Parts: sequence; structure tokens; C-alpha cells
Amino acid sequence: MIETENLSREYGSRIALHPLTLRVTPGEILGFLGPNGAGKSTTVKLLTGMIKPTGGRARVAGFDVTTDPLEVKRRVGYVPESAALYESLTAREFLEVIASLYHQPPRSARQRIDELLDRFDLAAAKDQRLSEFSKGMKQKVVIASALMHRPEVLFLDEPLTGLDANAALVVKELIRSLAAQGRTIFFCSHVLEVVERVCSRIVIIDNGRAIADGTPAAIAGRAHAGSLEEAFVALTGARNTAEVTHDLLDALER
Amino acid sequence: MLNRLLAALGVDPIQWRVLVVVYLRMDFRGTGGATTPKGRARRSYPLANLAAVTIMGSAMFAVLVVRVPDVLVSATLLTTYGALNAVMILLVDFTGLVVSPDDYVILGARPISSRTYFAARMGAVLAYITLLGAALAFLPALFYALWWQLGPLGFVATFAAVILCDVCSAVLIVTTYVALLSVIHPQRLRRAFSYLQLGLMMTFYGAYYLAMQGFSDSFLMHVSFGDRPWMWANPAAWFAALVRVVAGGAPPAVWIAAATAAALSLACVPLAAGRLSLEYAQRLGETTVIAERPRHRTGFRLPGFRRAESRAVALLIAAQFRFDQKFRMAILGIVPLIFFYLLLGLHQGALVDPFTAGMRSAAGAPVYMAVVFMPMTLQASLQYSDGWRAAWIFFAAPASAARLIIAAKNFVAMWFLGGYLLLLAGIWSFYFDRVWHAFFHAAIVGVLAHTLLQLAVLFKPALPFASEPRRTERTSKLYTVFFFGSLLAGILPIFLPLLYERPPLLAAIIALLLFVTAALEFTLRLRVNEAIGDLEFRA
Repeated sequence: MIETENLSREYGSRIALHPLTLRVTPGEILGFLGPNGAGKSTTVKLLTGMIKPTGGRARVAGFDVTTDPLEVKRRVGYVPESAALYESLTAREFLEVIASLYHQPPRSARQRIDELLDRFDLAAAKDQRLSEFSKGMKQKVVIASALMHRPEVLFLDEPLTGLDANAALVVKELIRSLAAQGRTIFFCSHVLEVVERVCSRIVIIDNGRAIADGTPAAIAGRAHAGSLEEAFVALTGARNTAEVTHDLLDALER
Repeated sequence: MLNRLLAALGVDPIQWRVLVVVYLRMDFRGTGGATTPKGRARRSYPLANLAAVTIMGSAMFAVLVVRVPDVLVSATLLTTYGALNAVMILLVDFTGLVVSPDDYVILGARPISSRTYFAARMGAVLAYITLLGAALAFLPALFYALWWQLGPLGFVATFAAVILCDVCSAVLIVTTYVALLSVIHPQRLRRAFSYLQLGLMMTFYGAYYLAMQGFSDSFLMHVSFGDRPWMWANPAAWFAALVRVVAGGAPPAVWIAAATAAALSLACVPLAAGRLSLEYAQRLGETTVIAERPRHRTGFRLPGFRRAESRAVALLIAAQFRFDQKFRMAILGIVPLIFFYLLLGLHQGALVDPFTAGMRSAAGAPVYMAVVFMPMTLQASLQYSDGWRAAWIFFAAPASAARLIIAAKNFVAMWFLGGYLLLLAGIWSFYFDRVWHAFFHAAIVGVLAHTLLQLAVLFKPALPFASEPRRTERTSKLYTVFFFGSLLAGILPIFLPLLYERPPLLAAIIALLLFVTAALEFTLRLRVNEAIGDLEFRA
């Protein structure tokens, strides 16, 4: 469960997130969309207790992110936008570190690590250093690390980045299954097709403000657009794509 | 017991242990960068290098222990050097050692309390400091125990004095930083801290040089704390008092100093249990969200670096200087140091015309020290950057690795070494008998320094800003260059006047130098192509 009430964040004079009021229920997959720099990652960092809000409040998994950030962190899984890892460790070592940080008993943690690495086709590479992993392999390790402790709420910031088609399918199916188990999923992405297919509800954010909330069909209907993609372009005020392409080609030929 | 102590301090023992092991493990392993086609990374052992240089320092202090008649004076020199050493390591490698911005992304969403995070980082730092302190203390401790017949207690007291002094210095530096962090914006503090680093680096180099001079100075043979009570103002002397107490017959002032050192060590425990937290890394992360306002810049056209790889390298160095605080500090840190050595050298006799000077001595060596030190250090600084991952461009673009590396070397030679030599020639021309003597001498010194630079690049060629800055690597390189540079600088003022007295020999040496320079330049291209050409990029 995620609940926010006028949650906001400022960086000096710049407002990264205008007051946001939101409620995501257990079992729900919320797609959080927005152009680059719209405030998606800031919202995720606020909800995971990584940064503090400058206004409003938020409760995740029943705990306040400002007053009980550790309790929140114990209950959430987070896949960051960049696959940040301690690259001089091996995949197994990294996951063991993560398991220890969540106080998982070594024996059951090892079993779970083997299980997750196996599911992500990383069993053969588990003793290789992460610096030797490809982008997609690193992303799989990041996703595995977010699932290690069976989180109640999962924050996924561009989780499919770098994954091959098969792995992406697995992750999408995994997200649906986790939601079916009653977990709350907060899914940030730029890939509208994926969001449309996976999420039951979508929130579009632009310049730090939530500008649309509803099912893909409802958002498209409200924006008088034929698809979510068209609605996104209309709502975020993006330039006409044909015009941009023409300008780019023109620049290349100059 | 440790678990109970950590729990009492509000630290999670399991998380603490895991993080300390991870931090230490990472320091002994490399990550990405250039690798051979077989996937083998080029090996480097920065911690081992630093330990080797520290052991050399330990040997020097062992000589001092034997020569200086006052135990307290020699022990004070040892603890002072140890403390400065610890502070230097912390300042040079601070971001990596104490708080890494990467931690924010990896650990920010994990349930780790601020205290646990701080304790883990502190634990890793103290492990370093203790290791290096022990390496430094070993030989002096042995000589106190055997030569001074202080026995096992003297051995232990020397270790305790050096390690406690180092640890207290480290704790004070870290906690000061943390205290400032709560009132000053991280980016501003980081900048301010860099300037503090600059100031302390100057103090350290100055102290190092003066200490080396001190080995041959009779001052140390006669000085005592009784004659000069102001020496107690140095806190490192309080720790040195522990050794003097063991020697027996210590006056009350020594006992008081030793007790103060013990009290200070105890006071460091609650100080260390302060409140450095992930918040620091978080704030660092936040500052990256706010983009700097772009400034309009005119085209960059540096003479000698206007085309292809050389222009790319010049542009890159200029941009890194503007945006990379570490690189900027590495450059700025050298400039005042050069002036310090210049003044010191000129004061010591570098203004005497070497063509007409009758006597030969190492007087004026600091001037030559700067000539050797500056290009080598700059060349080393050019290799590292936090943005090392961007080096993929060197591997993706149809650029010649040899040309890139040689362009970086030429940049250092032309714009830094050349500038310094011009300044030197200008000053010398006022004092030497003939103006041409000044410029000729500067040219000879320049060719020698350039040859050394070529050798340094030949020994370890590296693409500019393409290596990950590994902890303590910079410090260990700095020490190595400094150590060998000091030796070499002492030879030049003796060797060159000898050469100038014999014109045929001088002509032969000049011809040889020019030939060696050309041959090295040629070999450099071959060597770089061989060493770098088959490397692959991995990030």
C-alpha cells in the first residue's frame, strides 16, 4: 500500500515535485509515466525513504517515510534507474551482502540466491565479477537483489533496461504474478507499450505535477486521443514527432 | 563482545561486519577499464605500493631513532609524520574512503541506519590507518626495543603511540567534516575541503622536505623539549610521550602529555560514534539533480594542439579542469608547491650560475625537485577520473592510442613544464653571469625532465582519464614520485656544473640527450601500441 498526501520536494528554488496525492492499493500495478526530468525518480526516492520530502507526507507498507524510513526500507524492494552495483564483487557475493543487510539467515539466503540466479539464467556466471557482466546481466542482478527479501511493495524504475526479449517477458510476467500475490507495484518507465500492457492504472507526471490518473483507455479518452502514446504526447505538450524528425534529418544533411 | 559494543552504540553488528568486509574486499580488487583480450585487467596494487613507501619511511625513522639522542624528539618526529600521513590519505582519497556517492544508489533503499553506515565506513578507514601506522612504526619500534633497550614494552609503546595518533587524527578529520556537513551544502563543503586539502598538502610536502633536511642537520642532535617547551603545542608529541614514559625517568610534563594522549584516544570513541550517515551521500546525489547553469565559452584553440587527437586531448584536459574537482585540485595542488620549492631552492643557492660556480653541492635541489616532480605528478593525475567509463570513446573512435597518450604527455611538457622553465630562465637571467647561461641551463634541465616524463609514460602508458581512481593509488604514486624525485633532484645541481666545465663532453651529452629523446619518442609509439593497442574496454 502506498499513500501520499500533498507530497512535495524542492531542490533549492527548483520544485522537483509539486504536491502529489496518491493511493496505490495492494495488488495494484501503477504505471508512473513522464518525460525526462518530470520528477519520476524523485518520487520513487521519496517513497523509498532515500530522500526526505520538503512538504506533505507519505506512508508505504503502513509506515511513514519520514518518521520510519528503516521500517519502510525493510518492506520495499527497489530497482533503480541505473544498475548501480559494487562491481568488484561477484553476483553471489553481492546478493549475499544484500541478504545480510536484510538479516536473512545465511543458509536460507544462499538457497534463495541460487534460486534467483537460476531463474534469471545467471547460475553459470554467479562467481564472475559484476564488472564482467553485460548491462542486461547487471540489471538481472539488480532485480534479484530487489526481490531477495520478499518485499510488500516493489518500486521499479525502468526495470526492463538492457534486458533481452526473453528476460523482459519473464520480468513482465513476474510483475503480474507479484501483484496477483497482493504486492503493490510502482512501475516507472518511458516505454508506453509496456506500461499499457502491464499496468492496471497509470499516472502521468510532467514538470513535477501529476497531470493524468486512470486506466490507459480512460486517459486516452480524456485527452481525445486514439492511444496512450498520442495522449501522452498531447498531455505533455511534446513537439510534433514528424517536425522533430525533419529537423534532425535536415541537420544531418547540412 | 564486539557485537555487544556495536549494539550499545546503536550499530547493527551484522550489517556492520558485512559492509566492512565489502569495503575492504573492494579495495583489493580492481573493476572495469582497459583489459587484455583474455579479460585480464592490468594489475596494480596501490595499497601494497603505499605500504612499501611507508616501510621506506619506517626505515628512515629507524635511522633517526638511532641518531637522535633524545627519545622524545625522535618519537615526536615519528608520530607527527604518521599523523600527517593519515590525514593526507584521508584528504586525497576522502570521497572513496569515507563516503562514496555510489553508496547512495546501492544502499540508499536498504534498511541501514545512519550509525551503522558510519561505523562501517569508519571501520574500513581505521583498518587502513592501523595497517599503515603499523608498517611505519615497525622498524622504529624495533630499534627502540633493541638499540635503546626499552624491551618489549618500548616496542608496544611505539606501536601504540603511532597508531593511536594516526587513529585520533583520522577521527578528528572525519568528524570535523561531518560537523561541517550539517551546516554547509555538500558541494560547497567538498570544494572548501579540496582547498583545505591543498593547504595541508603544501604543509605536508614542506614538512617532508624539512624533515629530510633535518636528517643531516645538527639541530636535531641538540634540541629537547626542556629547552623548547613550545614543541608541546604539537599534539603528536603527546602520543610520543608514551614512548618516553617507557624509557623511564620521565619528568612530570611527559607524564601529563602521555595521560592527555590516552584521554584523547578515549574521547575519540564517542566522537567516532557520531552521525555520519547516508544523508551525506544522499545530499551529494541530490546536488547532481540540479544542473549547473551553462556558461558561454569561446572556441578552444591552444597552439600546438589544434588538430585531431592532440586537439581532443587538449579539449578534454581543459574540460576536466573546469568540471572535475579532483583533477582541478591535483593541478592546483602542484602549482603552489612548485613556487614553494622554487623559493626554497633559490634561497639555498640555485641562483648561482652553474657555468661559473666553483663549488659543487646539492644546494638549490628543490628547484630541480619541482622540475622532476611537476610533470610526473601531472602525468599521473591525467590518468584518473571518476568519469573513466567515458573512455569507451577512445576504443570506439578511430583514434590512435599512441597519439592520444603522447598528446597528453606533450600537453604536460609544453604547457606546464615549459611554463615553469620559462619562469626559471627569466629569474636566472637576472642572477647568472650571462643571459644565455640561464636559458641554456633551463633548456638542459627541461630536456632531462622531458626524458624522465617519456620514461614514466614508457613504463606505464595509460589513456587520459581512462582509469578508475582506486583508493590510495594516487597517494601511493605521489609518495613514490616524491621519494625518488628527491633523490634525483639532489644529483642535478652537482652533475650539471661538472658538465658545463667540459664543453666537448657537454656537446656529446647534448647530442646524446637529443638522440635519446628522439629514440624514446619512437619507442614510446611502439610501446604504447603494444601495451594499449590490444586492450579492450570493459565497464
